Amino acid sequence: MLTTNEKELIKKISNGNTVAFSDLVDGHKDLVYTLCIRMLGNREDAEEVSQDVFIKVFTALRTFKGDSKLSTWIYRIAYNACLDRLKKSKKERMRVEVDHLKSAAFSVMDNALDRMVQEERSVLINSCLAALPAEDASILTLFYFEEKNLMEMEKVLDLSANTIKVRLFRARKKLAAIMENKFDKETVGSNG
Amino acid sequence: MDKHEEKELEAFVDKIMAEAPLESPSADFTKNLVQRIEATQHKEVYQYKPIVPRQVLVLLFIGLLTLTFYLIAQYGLESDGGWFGNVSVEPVFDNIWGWLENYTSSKILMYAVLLFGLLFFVQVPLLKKQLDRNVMLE
Repeated sequence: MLTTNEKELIKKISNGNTVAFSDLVDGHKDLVYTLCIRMLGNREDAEEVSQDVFIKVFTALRTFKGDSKLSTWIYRIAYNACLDRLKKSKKERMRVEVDHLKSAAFSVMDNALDRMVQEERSVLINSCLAALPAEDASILTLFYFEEKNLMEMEKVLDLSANTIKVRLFRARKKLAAIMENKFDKETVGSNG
Repeated sequence: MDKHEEKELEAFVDKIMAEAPLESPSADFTKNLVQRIEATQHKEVYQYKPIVPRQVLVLLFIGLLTLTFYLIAQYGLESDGGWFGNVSVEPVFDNIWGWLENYTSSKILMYAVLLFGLLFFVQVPLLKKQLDRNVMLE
């Protein structure tokens, strides 16, 4: 499951080599931080939790048996750390109503997105992801980080593939609903 | 929602997520992290850990005190009645060092001993350098 490079890296880090560890951090920090920010919704918390995640990775790397990808194992630590932080802060983002979602809206939204400049599009997508509840944001983010591999996702989330599929569907619907909402507001805003 | 709509939704979200930008933490994220880890590592290295556990030390101390008091109680504090009062030690030292009185050494042996001493001090810095290098590698 592990590549020779990864094995070498783990061996070095287990011996306390901090240079090798910074290589590992540089390779994964953006992904971990993105997952944290999408689940926690603010930069300060995300930065703090990401630091804690990598410290846990450093101390627990000896116990990593290699039965999953190294990145999957790191995402699992990050996901659990975010859940713990959410439990402590007891902050829950607003519920998203998905009943009003119209299927015809996808192509309209798609066209509208195409007309936007790259930067605008990124801002809009980020704001939609930030409005998603932590559970949905994490499941969507991990699905794409793991390149749609449900087996790896099972290891991160500790859920069955079927449950993950159901949750993925729900998360997709919520994301589309949030985006539809944003487009509606913008249209109303620009007309009024 | 029917199968076709589900597929459409999936394709739409695929597109959004493919464009969702990755966020980056602060520029000195890795540096801060490594500093934090090195700080904890040093703490572990320099933390004082006695070789003999505290309980054993306390037991030894109590044992020593009891022995002292027992000996004082048994034999008293007078110096003439001590353990070494009737022991003569001169014959023992005569046996060990007596041979030195008539001993003469050759010059060669003296140079050999001197050279050995000199080399012993030469290898001290060499060994230190070697050990330093090994510790750095770890």
